[in-house]
Amino acid sequence: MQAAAAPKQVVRVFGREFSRRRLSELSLLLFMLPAMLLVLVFVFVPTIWAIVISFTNQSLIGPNARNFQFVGFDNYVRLFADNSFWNSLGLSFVFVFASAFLGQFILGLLLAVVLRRAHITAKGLIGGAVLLAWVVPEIVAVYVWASVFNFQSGTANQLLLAFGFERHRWLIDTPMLAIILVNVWRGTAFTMLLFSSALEAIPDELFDAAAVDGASAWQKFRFITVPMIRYTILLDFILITMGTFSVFGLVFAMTAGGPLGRSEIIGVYIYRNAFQYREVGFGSAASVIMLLINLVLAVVYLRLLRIEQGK
Amino acid sequence: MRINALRFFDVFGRAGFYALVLFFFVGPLTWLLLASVNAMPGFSWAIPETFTLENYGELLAEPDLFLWLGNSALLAVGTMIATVVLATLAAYPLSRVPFPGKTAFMYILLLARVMPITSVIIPIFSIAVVLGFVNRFEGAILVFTAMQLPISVWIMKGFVDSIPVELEESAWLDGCNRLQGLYRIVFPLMFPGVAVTGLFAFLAAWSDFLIPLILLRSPNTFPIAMGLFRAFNDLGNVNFGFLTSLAVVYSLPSILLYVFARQYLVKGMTAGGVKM
Repeated sequence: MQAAAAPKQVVRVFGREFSRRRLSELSLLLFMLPAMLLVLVFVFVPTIWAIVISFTNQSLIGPNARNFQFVGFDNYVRLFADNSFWNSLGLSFVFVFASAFLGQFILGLLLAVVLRRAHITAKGLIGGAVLLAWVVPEIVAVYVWASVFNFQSGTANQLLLAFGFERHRWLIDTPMLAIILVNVWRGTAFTMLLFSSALEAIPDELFDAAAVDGASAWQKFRFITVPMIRYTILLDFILITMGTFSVFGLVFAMTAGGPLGRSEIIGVYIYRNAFQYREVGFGSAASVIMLLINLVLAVVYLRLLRIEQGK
Repeated sequence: MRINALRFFDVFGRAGFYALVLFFFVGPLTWLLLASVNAMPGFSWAIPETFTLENYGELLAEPDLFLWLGNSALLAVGTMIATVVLATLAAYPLSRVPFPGKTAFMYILLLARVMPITSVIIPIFSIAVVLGFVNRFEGAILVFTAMQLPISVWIMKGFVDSIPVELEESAWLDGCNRLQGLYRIVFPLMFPGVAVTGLFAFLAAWSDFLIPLILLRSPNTFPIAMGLFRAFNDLGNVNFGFLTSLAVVYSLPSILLYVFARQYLVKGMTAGGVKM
């Protein structure tokens, strides 16, 4: 009250006039500094840094760690000639498509739809079970699934034997299938939660009216549910795609990319080159390719958000 | 007849689907729990012939347990406090003060959220070397905090937006400055936001594997994740009783905290101003 009644005091800063009130308001922006500094130093600077380093021959240790030189596009030329890079990029796409789209997306959506009208006990029990797999720490998930896939006495092979099949070498013959299964196990909860809350926003009357008109379950899903959650579908798809691209610990601890690179997704490829072969410059070139792919996805994501906020 | 068949499929199809889901999602975890109370634990899924709590007893006698537990707790609590304080401080002016380019600023912040960490891990290591942060908890905490901040600021801003500025104005009239008003009036009112961002930060640091792998290289600084990883990769010498009981102890805080925070999960996941 008092401030509003007082005569406006005006201060000149850099040739522009500000009221004292506005100036003190602007000074609040200083509160943002520590957070912004951290994000700058550990998120944005590393991004730029990765790009710069990708044009050098920097190594992790040794003389080239400090006295590195710019080598132009050498790293990229080498990268694009490296079969194991294309292998890892291809495996990353397989990993993302199979575990994010075929696995998490379809299973998560199915769970959300089925649980929407389920009994409260089923909702709590089944929803809780899916959530449980999501919340255990990554390394525990790896450890638990290593037991499932163990050749001699793992649960997966026990089941195969019980049904009259031979033992299968999960981590050696089908390492991609193994890491995809584990990632579906871990990640489905996210999609399920996202769709559960989106489905709750659809009024029951719509389904009741459709039922009166004799619509089948599939027709209800196709003509009511899908149009109502169209936006959530896109949002979920982009978020889980980006999330799956950055999976690292799970694969690294489970198969370390092996055997012979047959489960080496891009994150593991970067780690191997930068931290095991100590070629930081070369590894960064692979990072930059990964960044570019994610940037395209991120731009689509931000556009979607803006469209939705503009409504 | 047709109706009966449909009903049959509805009831039994549903039950079958539930059974499969339970089997797939809970089955692997039951192995962990059962092995941890088995006197003869191994890779196979088995109801123990002799139940025992000895594995947990052995775990308690292991000096590394308290080192790792302490390190993990330090990382998680440090990250939680830093994230909550810095995110609140940043969210407040973002909510209250109009300035040009604010929308663009918020979206750029969101861009930081979706940056895959594996693609920037090399420079993060280099920066940590330059700043002397390798094998230091401060370094890991700051990196975790930086990773959590973008999404936390978004969540917190939403909560500050929902608190009427009039509540603060009366505090200012009573002689509070903006900072005092922030922590006496706004902070307590946005407790759900504080809880959810704090929890996410705690759990992210508690469960993470990549940052310790890169930054915490000395065994003295290992959190539980690294301890488990090293012990498990010690092939030919896997002590199942120790590992399974440690994994259970390690998972418990995460599970309990999520149970507590289940109602806030969706809000936190979709922050970014998504309307559902």
